Amino acid sequence: MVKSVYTTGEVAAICKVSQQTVIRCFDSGRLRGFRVPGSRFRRIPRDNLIAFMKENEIPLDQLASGRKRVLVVDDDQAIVDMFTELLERDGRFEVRTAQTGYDAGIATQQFRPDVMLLDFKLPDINGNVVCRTVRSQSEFEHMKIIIISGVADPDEIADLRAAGADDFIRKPFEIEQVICRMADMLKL
Amino acid sequence: MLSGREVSHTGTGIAKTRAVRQAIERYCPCVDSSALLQTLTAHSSDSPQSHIGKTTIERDYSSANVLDCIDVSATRAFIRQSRRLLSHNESTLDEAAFWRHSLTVAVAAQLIGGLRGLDEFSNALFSAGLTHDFGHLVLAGCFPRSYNRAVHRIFRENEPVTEVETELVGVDHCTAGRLLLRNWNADPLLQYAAWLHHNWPQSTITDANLEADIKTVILAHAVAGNAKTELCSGSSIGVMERSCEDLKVPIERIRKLTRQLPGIVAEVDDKLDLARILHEDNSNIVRTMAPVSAIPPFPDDTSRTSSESPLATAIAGLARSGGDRPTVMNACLRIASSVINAFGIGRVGVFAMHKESGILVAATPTGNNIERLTQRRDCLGPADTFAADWAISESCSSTAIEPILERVTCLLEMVDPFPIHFVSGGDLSAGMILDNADPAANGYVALYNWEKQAFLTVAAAEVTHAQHTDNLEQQLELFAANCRKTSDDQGSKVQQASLGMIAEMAAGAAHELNNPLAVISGRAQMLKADLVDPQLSRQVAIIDEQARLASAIISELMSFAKPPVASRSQINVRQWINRLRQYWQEHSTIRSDQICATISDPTLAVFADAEQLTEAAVAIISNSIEASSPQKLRVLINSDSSASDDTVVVSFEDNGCGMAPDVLKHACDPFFSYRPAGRGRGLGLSRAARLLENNGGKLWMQSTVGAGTKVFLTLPTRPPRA
Repeated sequence: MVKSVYTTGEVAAICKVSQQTVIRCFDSGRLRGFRVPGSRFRRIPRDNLIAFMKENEIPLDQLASGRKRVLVVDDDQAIVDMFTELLERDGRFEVRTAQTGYDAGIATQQFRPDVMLLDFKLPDINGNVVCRTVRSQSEFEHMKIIIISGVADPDEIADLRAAGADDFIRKPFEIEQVICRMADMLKL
Repeated sequence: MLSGREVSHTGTGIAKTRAVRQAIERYCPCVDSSALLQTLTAHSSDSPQSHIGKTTIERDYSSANVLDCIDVSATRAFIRQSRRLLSHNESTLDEAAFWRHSLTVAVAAQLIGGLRGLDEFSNALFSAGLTHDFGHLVLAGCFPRSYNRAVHRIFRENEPVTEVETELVGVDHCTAGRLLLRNWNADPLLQYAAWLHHNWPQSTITDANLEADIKTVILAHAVAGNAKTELCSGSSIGVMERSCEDLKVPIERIRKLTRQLPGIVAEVDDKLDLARILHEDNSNIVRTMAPVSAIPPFPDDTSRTSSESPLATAIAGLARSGGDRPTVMNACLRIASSVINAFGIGRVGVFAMHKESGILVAATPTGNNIERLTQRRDCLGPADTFAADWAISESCSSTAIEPILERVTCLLEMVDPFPIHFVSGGDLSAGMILDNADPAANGYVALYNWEKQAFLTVAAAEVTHAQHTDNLEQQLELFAANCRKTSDDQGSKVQQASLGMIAEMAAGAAHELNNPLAVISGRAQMLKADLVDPQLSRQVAIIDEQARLASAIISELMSFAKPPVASRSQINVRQWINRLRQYWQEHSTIRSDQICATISDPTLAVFADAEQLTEAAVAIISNSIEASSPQKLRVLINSDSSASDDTVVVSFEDNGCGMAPDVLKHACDPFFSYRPAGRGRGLGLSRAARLLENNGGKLWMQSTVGAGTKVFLTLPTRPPRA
């Protein structure tokens, strides 16, 4: 179901900017909308939001589906395919994939995922490096990172958590468990 | 009658002096010039010049005054014979200077005797002058190295002769000379002249004529000193004046004599042809390690045959007793036995140098056997404390032997211990101690030198051989120990390397295999969700389950090869075992009475990672359960801290089927299982052992087929030292 009116917080999440930025744009007239009668709450109609996003060249992906964006990063095509099929079958997720750390970086910039399912051992760089790189940029601070790996060394897991991973799932896994954890994290 | 000066004695110096004196007394008869000396001393001239005092007092001195009175050929023979005292060339004694000085004093003594107006003239004064310094020959011949050091100090550093000699050799040349001359039964004048020529005689000499004669030699010595002949020291004008006064000889005449003396001596020297005697090859006396032994056999030695000699018996005894293992100890004992048997000596002590400690064997005969009174490894002090003179003298001149002497004296109740050294290759290798008070010991002392030399050589060879064997054995043992250690190290390294390889392989496998396993498992789960047919659904579930099992094996292998770092803390053994029993009751069908625990001390605690320790115990008990039927199983857990303060031993004993030795040997190898396939992966005990190692402990087992297995865990009670 597609929403027709958005709060400033929702707009901030869709446009990946802070709520204050949305309020400033609303107050200056660059983002058009209305205040709720009898209160000062700002509301932005869907058409006005689309116009604003186009004017400012903000991708319309998030707005288009309303589904959570998931970036699956794994060099094993069979794993990638399985996750893609699993998540798309669920319906709540929009999936992009990457098979190297480099690809993951580019996809993160373009796709701006809500959650990243990240394999620890990648052909070019390891998962902990990807974690650190993502966490070093404030615009991705809300992004969730779940490491999925066949290696279960407790020291390595501790290292990954320190690098900014939110969760760790060991291969092989129960698919229900993975979906549940993602839903919890994204408050679906 | 006499109480002349003696060697100063301080502390251990007494024993040293005694040993040196014994050495000299045994050395002197080797060169017996006594007969020649008596001929020389007793010679009286029939010439008119015999009353030399009266005639020479009125006119100038000449060599004729001397040469007319002495027996030139006897003098030459005496000098030639006496040179044998220096039978080796280690000494730096200048023989030419020595004899020239001796001749000078002899000539001066004879001429001064004339000045004294002696009515009766004999060659006694000449002989006394000639032999007054024979102590130098004794010291140089007997203790060349010590004597050389003394000479160096006397001439280079101008130190008092007698004091330096006493300090470095043990006696001075005055005492040594007296001992020699006494041994040769020389005229008392000769003995005292040798003894007292550096000192004024004490008033204890009651014979006035003898005293005057001694003073004559002393004056002659002073005159020779002032005449600047060689080897003069200790003389002074004061002595000369005092002597002249005592002897009632005009000092002017003595001064004149002093001036003329060198010329007269040169003439006498020519007549005697001293240079030629000194050029005679002294090396016909074969130089060996010990000068004593180097003296050629005495004429009557040829009449003796070796078969008659007790030493031959001793040597033969040594040769026959070669059956024992050739250790230094056995060699010492064999030497002791052979000497006891050969001479009938009551007690013998034999000592030998050892690489690190000395060996002392004391032996005494009991009936037909030799009783080994004691065998001790006592430190004899570092090898360099043995004086160099040991190696060249049959008798000991070093204080280093005193502790051995004391021990042997005490142990064997010896009255007068007499050490004899075995020298091999120039080094002291061992020695033997006899008791002079034992009449049988004289059997050895009375032996001829070549016999002694033969015995010493054989004994030294025996000990040296044993020492070499001992050293070789020590080196072999060291080598074997090193080999074992290297082998152990290699084994340990190989094991560590193997575990490292397994860890690396497991890590690689975990990544490479878990991906397809995750896909198999994931796809099976997805498929299962779509399936309605329960039959198909169950089969898909098996696929998922087996994929997870394969992954679990990989995890176990990895955990075995690289266990997580132990987080160690103090664990109360009783509480831990109680929790363990509780765990089994909750997680299995085992009844509480099937696991019994005996804890020696309720406060007993170990220092380990509780989780890993429990994991190990679970693996051990699981193993016990699998080795027995669950209903009949009985596990006894015991704890014991009696072995050591640092460790506690916990044992798990079951009544299962037990293991044969060849199975037991491999029980802790990973993936080893003697049970039917499918009942276990064979990682339980190996993982338990790894976890114990990881916690500074050890796992070991005892097992009897049909009776059960006992697994012991040795656990540390304290944190590892930094």
